[in-house]
Amino acid sequence: MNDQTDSGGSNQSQRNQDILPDLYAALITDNHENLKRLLQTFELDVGCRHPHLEPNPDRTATLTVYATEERIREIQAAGYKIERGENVSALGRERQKEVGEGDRFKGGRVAPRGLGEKPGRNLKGGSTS
Amino acid sequence: MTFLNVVEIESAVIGLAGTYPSISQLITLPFFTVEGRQSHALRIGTGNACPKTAVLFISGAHAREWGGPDICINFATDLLEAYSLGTGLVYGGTSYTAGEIKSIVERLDVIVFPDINPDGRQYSQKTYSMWRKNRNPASSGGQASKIGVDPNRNYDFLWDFNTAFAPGAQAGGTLASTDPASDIFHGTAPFSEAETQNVRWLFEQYPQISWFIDIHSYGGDILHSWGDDTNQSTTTDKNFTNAAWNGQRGLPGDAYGEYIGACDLAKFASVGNAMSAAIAGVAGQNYAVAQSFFLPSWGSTYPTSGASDDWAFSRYFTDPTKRKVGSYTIEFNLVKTFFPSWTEMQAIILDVDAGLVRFCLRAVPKFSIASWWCLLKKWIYEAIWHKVLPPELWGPYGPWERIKRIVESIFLPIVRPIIRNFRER
Repeated sequence: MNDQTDSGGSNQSQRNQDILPDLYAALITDNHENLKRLLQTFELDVGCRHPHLEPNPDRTATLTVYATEERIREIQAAGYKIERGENVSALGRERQKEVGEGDRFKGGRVAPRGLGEKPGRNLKGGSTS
Repeated sequence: MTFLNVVEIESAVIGLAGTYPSISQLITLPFFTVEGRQSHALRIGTGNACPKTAVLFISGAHAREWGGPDICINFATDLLEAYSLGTGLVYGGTSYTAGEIKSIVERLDVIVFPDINPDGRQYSQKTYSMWRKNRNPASSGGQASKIGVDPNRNYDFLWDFNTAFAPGAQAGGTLASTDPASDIFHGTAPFSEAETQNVRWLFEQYPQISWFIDIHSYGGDILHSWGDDTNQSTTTDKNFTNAAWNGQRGLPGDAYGEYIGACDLAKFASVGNAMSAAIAGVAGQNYAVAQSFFLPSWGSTYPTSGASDDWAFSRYFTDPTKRKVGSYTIEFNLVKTFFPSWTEMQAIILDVDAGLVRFCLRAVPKFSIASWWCLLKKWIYEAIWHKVLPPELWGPYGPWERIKRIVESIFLPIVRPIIRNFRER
């Protein structure tokens, strides 16, 4: 496994951090047709596989996209009702504190333990690590 | 406990293979990422003399969807622990017996490739959290914002979307992109990336793979093929291999729909529903089962090109000597965020892993009269029929498929109620 090395990637990553701007969860509310037009007009980060839309009682829907402040202003200027939500990049930075440091499995010398309950495992006295 | 980093994912796989050598095997993937990482997968199953039906789980394609590899590692660990201890497995309100776990480990090869895009994950976890793609700079022209290819648009399924799809199909913003700055940039060629080459290599090394799930986030969806157009089960000529339909795919309600056998479609939905029920049983999370072309809970359509699930299913249609693979994408987490806390993620792991165990159980060959008949049919087909006659005759778009469909349409409505009635007694 060549994983401990960051080689050139790390230095490049550090440079890129300064360049790539924060993304916000932006909520755009409109009718179906206008939202479709919006997706045609702007190439937007809509999540993983497909856009996420919450239908509203008034037959509009709220679309969540991930956009920079600049892109949010562009969408606003195009006449869409857009609300800047959470700074998801900042949330991600916060969550980076919940990522493991080092190697808790010591290169494979320690096996992980599963979260699922194994009924009766104590009676059998099994240990897997 | 915390999210696994890229080093820990590989160490976990190596550690599991070392701890359970009689029921698992470390698989070293041959293609190195651009940052020089080599990935590993794990095969879980007793014996290796006789190839068994195999199930493949992959995750981590999109870097910012952190929980996928954690789901996979925990799933593999639970399966190995429970089998070794001779216990069942309990995930909240969903439980599996020791016999069910035994049947999975002894009758299947379960292959887990937990992190197909380690470069992207490293960048997301250490630098720019919202990063989605891999870290291939080849098309970037030196610009940071143009680095990377979306692995899940790089598979060889209608990859050349500008030719295969209608111009209007791009409207949803999900199809693919030729712009390296785009988050759905599809690369310079199908399988141009080490990440997807490794997945393809697994399919080639384990031709008995019959079931496949690519784990993503978020949405709370269980998606199945096809992802390019509306499914239809009547006209075999309308299919992704037929160039006559180029430029017309990806729009709903028009002449084109992607052919899928009615039995396959029913099976996709049935297995998806079984997974969804298992997930709901854990803590009440309701995952929607849908064809990936459609957005669940909204009437719109969102086609994709070059996605893993469609490519895996399509292999049989482009080469009928290959196994037909029941393919899915799971979008875990009903809450709209890529970054649940680790505490929240632990609950999601229990949910999804309960679904994955159910999925495996559906893949286990059943040794009933029906399954013996099925094996006999397969033997007749593959050992004799397929050797003697060309695929043009017996393949998925050939006349034999049409004859089968006509026979099924006549007899299944008669036979099904009789079987159901017999079972209820």
